Amino acid sequence: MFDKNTLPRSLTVFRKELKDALRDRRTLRMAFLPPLYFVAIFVALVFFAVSMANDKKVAGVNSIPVYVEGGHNLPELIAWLREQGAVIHSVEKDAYQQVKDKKIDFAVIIPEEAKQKRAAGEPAPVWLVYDGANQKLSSSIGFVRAQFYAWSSRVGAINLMARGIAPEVASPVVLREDNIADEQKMSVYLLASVPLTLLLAAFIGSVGFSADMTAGERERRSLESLLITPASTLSIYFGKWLTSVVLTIAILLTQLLLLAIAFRFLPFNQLGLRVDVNYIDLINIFWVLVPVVFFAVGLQLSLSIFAKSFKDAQSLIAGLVFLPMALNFYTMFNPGVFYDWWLWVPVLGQAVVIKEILLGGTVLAFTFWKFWLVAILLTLFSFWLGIKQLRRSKIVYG
Amino acid sequence: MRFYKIILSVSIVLGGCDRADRVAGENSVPWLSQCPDFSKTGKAPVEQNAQCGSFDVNENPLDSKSKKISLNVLRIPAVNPVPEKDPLFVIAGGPGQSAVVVAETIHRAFSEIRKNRDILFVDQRGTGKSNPLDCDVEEDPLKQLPEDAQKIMMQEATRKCIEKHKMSAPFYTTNYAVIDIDEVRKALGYEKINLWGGSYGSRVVLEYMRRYPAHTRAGILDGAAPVAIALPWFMEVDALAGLQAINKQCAETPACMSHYGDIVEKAQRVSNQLLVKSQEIKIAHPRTQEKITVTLTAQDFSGVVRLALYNRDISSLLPQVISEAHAGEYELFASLSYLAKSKSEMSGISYGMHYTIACTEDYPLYKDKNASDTNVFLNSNIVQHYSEICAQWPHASLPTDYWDDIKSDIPTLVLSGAMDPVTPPRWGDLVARKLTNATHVVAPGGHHIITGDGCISQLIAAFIATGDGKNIDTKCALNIQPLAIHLPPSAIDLPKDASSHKDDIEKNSADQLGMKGTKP
Amino acid sequence: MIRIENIGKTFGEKKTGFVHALKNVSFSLRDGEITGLLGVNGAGKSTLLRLIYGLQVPTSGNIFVDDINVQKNPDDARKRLGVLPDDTGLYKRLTARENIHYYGELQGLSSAHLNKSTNELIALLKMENIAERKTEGFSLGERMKTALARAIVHQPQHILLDEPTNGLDVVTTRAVRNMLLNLRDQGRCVLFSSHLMHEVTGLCDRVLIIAGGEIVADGSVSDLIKLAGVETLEDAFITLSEFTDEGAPNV
Repeated sequence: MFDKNTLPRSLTVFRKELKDALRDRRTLRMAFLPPLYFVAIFVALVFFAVSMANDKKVAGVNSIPVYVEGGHNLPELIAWLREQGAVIHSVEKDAYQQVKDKKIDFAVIIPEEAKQKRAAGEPAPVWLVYDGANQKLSSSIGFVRAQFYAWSSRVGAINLMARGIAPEVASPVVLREDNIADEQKMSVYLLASVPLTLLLAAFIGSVGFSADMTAGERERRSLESLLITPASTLSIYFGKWLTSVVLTIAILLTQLLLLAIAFRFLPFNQLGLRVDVNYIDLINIFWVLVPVVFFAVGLQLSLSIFAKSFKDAQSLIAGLVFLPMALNFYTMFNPGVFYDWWLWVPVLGQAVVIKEILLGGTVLAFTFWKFWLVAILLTLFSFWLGIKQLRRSKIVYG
Repeated sequence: MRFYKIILSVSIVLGGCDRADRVAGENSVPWLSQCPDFSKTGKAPVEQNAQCGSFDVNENPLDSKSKKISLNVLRIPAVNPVPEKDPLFVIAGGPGQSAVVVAETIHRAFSEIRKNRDILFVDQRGTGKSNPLDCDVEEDPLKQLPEDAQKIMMQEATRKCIEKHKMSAPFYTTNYAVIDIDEVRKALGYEKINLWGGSYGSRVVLEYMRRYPAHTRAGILDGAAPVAIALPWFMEVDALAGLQAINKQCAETPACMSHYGDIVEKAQRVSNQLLVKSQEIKIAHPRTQEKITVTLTAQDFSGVVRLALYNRDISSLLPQVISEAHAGEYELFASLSYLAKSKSEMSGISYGMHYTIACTEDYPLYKDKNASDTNVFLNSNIVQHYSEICAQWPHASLPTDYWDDIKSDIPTLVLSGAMDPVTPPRWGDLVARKLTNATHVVAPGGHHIITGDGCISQLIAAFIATGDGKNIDTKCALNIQPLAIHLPPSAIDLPKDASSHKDDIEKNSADQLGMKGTKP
Repeated sequence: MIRIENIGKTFGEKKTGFVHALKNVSFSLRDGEITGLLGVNGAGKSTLLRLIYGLQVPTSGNIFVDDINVQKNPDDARKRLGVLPDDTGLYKRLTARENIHYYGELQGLSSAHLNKSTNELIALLKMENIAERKTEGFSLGERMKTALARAIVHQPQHILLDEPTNGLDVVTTRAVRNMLLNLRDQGRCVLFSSHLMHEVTGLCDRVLIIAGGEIVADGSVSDLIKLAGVETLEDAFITLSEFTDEGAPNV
């Protein structure tokens, strides 16, 4: 099956298919645009998050509009809010109704009784009225709430001291929290989608080309003539496989390059996150993905042989997408879960390792061996499957 | 197939590229490493990726054979993996406080700056873990010894302190400290740095600006204490002004005025009475409620009032404390005094370094003046206390131009609290006059060090971001108003002036709401 | 020289019933001769050709191309064959020349040899005006010429053509015909299937008539007319095809 002619013939097939593919503008667009879209969406999301984080600031200084009814009942509280960056808008009356009518976003209502209760040494009731369904308010509400607690505990401490009691008495327990994830680890929320899209690019990036080279060949009835040439089935198959592999790698490199640019220039730090992905990390990610490309292209080809037309093949292979998607979602929704055997599961292992690399972790060389071993077995299997099919008369004449 | 083999071998080479090697290689600062964490110290590091280390310098920088001392350095790397090249150095005050210790509480004020810049805390030589010149001069909080015996004990402690540090002390003045900062700067590979100095730290920043203008990008002076402040020569005048400011605030509030009256006068009377006869007061322990007896002297009274004036919250209690003491009820004063003293034990000042600064840099400015002229604040005799120590302190020489005004065009942000009892705005004004590219921000309700108040940390971040010393919109600092003076509940329910009703923006609220209603 | 020995081909399964497409067929194709394979639709012409170029496997019997057993050594056998299958597609994004080159390379031609051969074929088939055009939008004739050139670019000794002139205009048909005559004169072995009587009459040195999976007649055009006792080849074809039940009349 394998002789001195196999490689030269494969390269002939490869050269022709590559030329053919590069002239296929439509499929090229379909293949190279998704990485661009993804990176563009990713960039847009980061900028959106950054603008969300900064939208309550004027020249770097907090300026949070707060609507207050009855501010004169607790002027010290209002002064405190203002000091912390609230821009106070007084509402004469009916603040509650105005929130309900969506005329104002939220309101602090300080009733008359607050003044009297404070005079009597009782806790003064203050109302914070908001529409919890309006998510864009959450930062403002959080700010106001935090300032209430801060002011209340401050004044409470002074009240205790004024009675000769140490303020610490009011806090029998001090909760100290330590988030052991540094800013780089915390960026997991932002970067969660990156491994998925990279895996998708590796997995189905060149579906169009694979379908064109197999089902397309059947559809335009050129397969028979091709098979009549003395080129062996292996060399034809290998040449086509090589074409898709090279194209997928080009797609991957495009996406990685765009990501590299995005990672370099996006202001993650504005979100308090550290994304430190340098070129060595990206090269490592690339080598994690190459084994996926090997077997994924093999699967694409051997599956689309079964399809009678290019369109059938595309929808058939599109089903393949669910494999990486499902595995990725599993890791996204179970972030803490990891077993060593995952590294042996194609796609799942890569998803875990890519995430690890993005978050600044280390990858052992041994992991690459696992990936390659699994990938080569799967690739050989797909070759076996594809080659077995290619010359069946059902495929050639069916 | 050869094709496979090539790919395999390449991938293995790359796969072996361990990230840990890379981080070490990138840092290229062998003496900084990940700070010890909870498992070693029992507490969390200031930030997960903070780096700790010590950097060796000669005690006498002019003599390379002199003994080596190591400077304790804490670096909190910028969040941005590609940070701005100029970090922020944070200089603590005191003199004698440890910057690395202060970092635990103050570093969050710089979190906005840290998004783009490394933050550095270097224990100044003689403080913290940089060869601290510590002395055992703690007082006994319960004052069980008679006053004379205490005085003898203090003198003995001072003598021991001098004996212990006399060889080193001459090298621990500000001019040496700035050499250290520049050595650390060089070792970490920074071309230019920003500096924040609080209280005495501002003097270090100013000195660095003078000696290394080419390496200073911007300075922030919070609570400016230039050498002209001649610590503690003006301390009592300034403390008195602080107390008078509280008095004025009280006088403007009818409820306060009618309840407490003129507290400056009352305080003076209490002090004078205590000077004649100290008080033995039985109080319930502020935490445990155990009955304890506290001896109160005039010294304690001035000390507690002065310390209270440093702090916004406790200042608001002063009228009540003074009024009650004036009325012969010393319980509240006694418990505050007890709380204040148990707090000050933790301040961790290295007194050997403190007196080296005060006696070498400040003492020459007032040693020939009449100390009793300054004794205006509740019989506290601070100058006399320093003079006694400084007269014996080992002599050190300073550059002849050391006391000259510091002139600079480096962008500088000067911050002052109007109620500050030790570095009030007049010192900031004095400094700012010689700085051609500076803005002086005064917070009306600020006390000593205002970086943590209101919008100030945001102003600092904006200033560091632009590096523009002039175009700073400082009006948000006006929102830092004095806290309301503490009144007993019964006194609150009195008519208030309506000045606080005004809207923050000029348009009236009806217009605002009308516009709001038309928006989607 | 192609030898067909006792070839039988059966399609289908036990359940659905068998179709005997070819029944014990034997003949030889000689070099320097154009052989026409005549048969109605479904007579087994395409199946026979497919068996020769090895894309289908005979149920029984053997096929030799220059003494190479096609079943045992299909790739070697194919090197000696130039095949134009029925209804073959081109790569539409490649030019005509690129289409031809691709097959030449797959045949293992050196590039100098390939260029020379391609140029000759382009001249011979009068394809100069379309050689550098992408084949998308080619007319049927243009497609056919390209496919033909592609099939024989390696100058095979044996040439199999499945209805090569189907639907071609007069000019193109002429070009193809001249080409085939040319090949014959070079001493090559040409087999083409057709159901166009006049074409077979004009070209073939020998005619095979296939009907019901069997060769029912084998001889020159005049032999067949004589055998059938009719005037034209068409009449001979009809007559001979109808005698299938009685077996092939021997000539």
